[in-house]
Amino acid sequence: MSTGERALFRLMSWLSPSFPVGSYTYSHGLEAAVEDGLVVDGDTLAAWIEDLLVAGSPRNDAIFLTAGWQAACAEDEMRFAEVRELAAVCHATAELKLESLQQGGAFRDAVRRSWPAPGIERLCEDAPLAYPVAVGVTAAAHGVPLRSALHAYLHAFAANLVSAGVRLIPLGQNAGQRALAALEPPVHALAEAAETATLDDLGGCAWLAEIGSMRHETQYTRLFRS
Amino acid sequence: MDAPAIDRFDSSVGEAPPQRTTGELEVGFRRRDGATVVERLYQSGAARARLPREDTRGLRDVTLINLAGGLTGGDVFFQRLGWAAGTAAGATTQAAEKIYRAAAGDVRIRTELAVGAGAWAEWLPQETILFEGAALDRRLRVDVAGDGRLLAVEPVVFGRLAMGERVRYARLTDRLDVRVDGRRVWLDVNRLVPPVDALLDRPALGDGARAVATVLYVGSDAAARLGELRAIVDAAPVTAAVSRLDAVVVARLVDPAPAALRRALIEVLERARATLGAWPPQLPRAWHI
Repeated sequence: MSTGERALFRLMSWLSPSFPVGSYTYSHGLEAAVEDGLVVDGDTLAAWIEDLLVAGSPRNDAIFLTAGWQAACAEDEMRFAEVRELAAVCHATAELKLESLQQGGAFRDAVRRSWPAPGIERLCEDAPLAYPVAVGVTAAAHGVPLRSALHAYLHAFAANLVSAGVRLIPLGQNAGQRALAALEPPVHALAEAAETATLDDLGGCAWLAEIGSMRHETQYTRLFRS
Repeated sequence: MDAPAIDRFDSSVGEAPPQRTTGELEVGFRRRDGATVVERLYQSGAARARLPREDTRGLRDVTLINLAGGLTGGDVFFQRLGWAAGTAAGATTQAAEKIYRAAAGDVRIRTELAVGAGAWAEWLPQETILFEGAALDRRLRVDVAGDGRLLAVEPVVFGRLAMGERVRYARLTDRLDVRVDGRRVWLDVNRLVPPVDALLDRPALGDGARAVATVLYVGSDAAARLGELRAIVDAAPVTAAVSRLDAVVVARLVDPAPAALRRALIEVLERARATLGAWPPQLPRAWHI
C-alpha cells in the first residue's frame, strides 16, 4: 500500500459519518436557518454552506487544523499548547463551541483507543480540544499530508450539513448530492488557502449564521444539538 | 510618565513615514473617598480624553477624542484604560471614528481594558465607519479580574450610506480577546476582505447588512444574566441574538441601515446597564448628539 493510499484509507475512516464523534447530531445552526425560512431547497442549502466555507467557522477550523498539524509535525509543544488554547475559545456561540469541543473530545478518545501512532499522546490530556486541532494532530502523527487532511475535514463538514439539510428541509437524496457536488470548488479553494494560512488570518463575518445558532438555543422543536 | 511605548506592540511601526497620525492614551480610574476619580491621564499625539464635570449617569465618564478627525493607512492609535478595584466608570468617543481610504498599510488601533475586582466598566465607543478603500486592523484586549464587570460595544459601519458610497475594496480585521483572571475565555475576530459589499449581501453572512455591532458583558455572573440580556436583545428591532461563552455574554446585531442599528444599540445598552448595574438607563451624552 502506497503512502497516499494509506492516508486515504485513514482519512476516510476518521472523517466518515460512522466514526464515533456523533457528527450527525449537529447542524451548525442550519436547523434554525431552515426554521426561519432562510434555507428552503438544494440551491439555498449549497449557498448557505458555501458562505460558511468562505467566511464562517469552517474557515477558522481549517486554519486551526493547519496550525495543529504544523505544531505536531515540528514537535513544538509550546506552539501546540497555544493553538489548542486559542482553538478552544474561538467560537461565536455556545452551541458551535459545544459542537467543536464534544467532537474534539470524542475524536481524541476514539483515536487513542483504535488508531495509535507516535505523537498521538499530545491528545492525551483533559484540556478542552477543538475538533479541527484533534484531526490535525492525528493526521500529523500518522504522516497524512496536510492538504489531504484539510480536504477530508472540510468535505466531512459540508457532507454533514448537506445530510442535515436533507433531513430538515426535507430534500430528496439526489438534490442533496447535487448540493454536495456544488460544494466541491469552495471546499477545494478553502483547503488550498488554509494550507498556507496562519493564526493571523483567523476571522469571519458569518453573522446571520451565528445569530441563527444563537436563536437555536431557545428554539422550541429541535432535532439537532446545534 | 511611564507610558508604554507604541512599538511594544508592533516593531514595524517605527518605520512608518513621519506624516502619519499617532495617538497614545492612558487613563487610570481609582477609588477615592467613596467616589471614582481619574488618577492617571497620559495623552499624546492626536489622542485626547475629556472629563465631563457632571456625572449624570451615576458614574465617572471619559470621552475620547481623535484630534486628527479620522484615520488612514499607517496611522496608529494605542489606548489603555484601567479600572482599579471597586471603581465605576465609562468611556465613549466624541464622534464616530472615520477610517479613510488607505494610502499605505493598515490603520492600527490597539486598545487594552483592565477591569479590577468589583469594578464596573463601560466601553461604549460610537461607530467606526469604514470608507471605500479603508484598511483597519483593530485589536481590543479585555482583562477582567475576579468579580469585576464590563459592558462593551464595538459598532462598525460599512460606507457613508447617506452619500451612496459602496464599500468593496476595504479590509477589516477586528479582534476581540477576553481574559478573566488571566485565563483566556473568548476570542472573536470579525474579518472582511474584498469584495466587501458582495460578502455582506450573502445570506449566511450579512444578508444585506451595512452595520454590525458586538455587545458583550463580562462578569462572573454571566450565566445568571443570560436570560435578562437575551430578553433585552430579542426586543431590539434589528436582526440580533445572544449567546454565552464562559464568563462572556455576547450579542451580535446587524442591520442594513446604520441609523436603525444605532437606535437599537442605544436601547439595548441603556436597558443593559440599568439591568446589570442598576444605573440610570442613559448613555453618555455623545451618543445623543
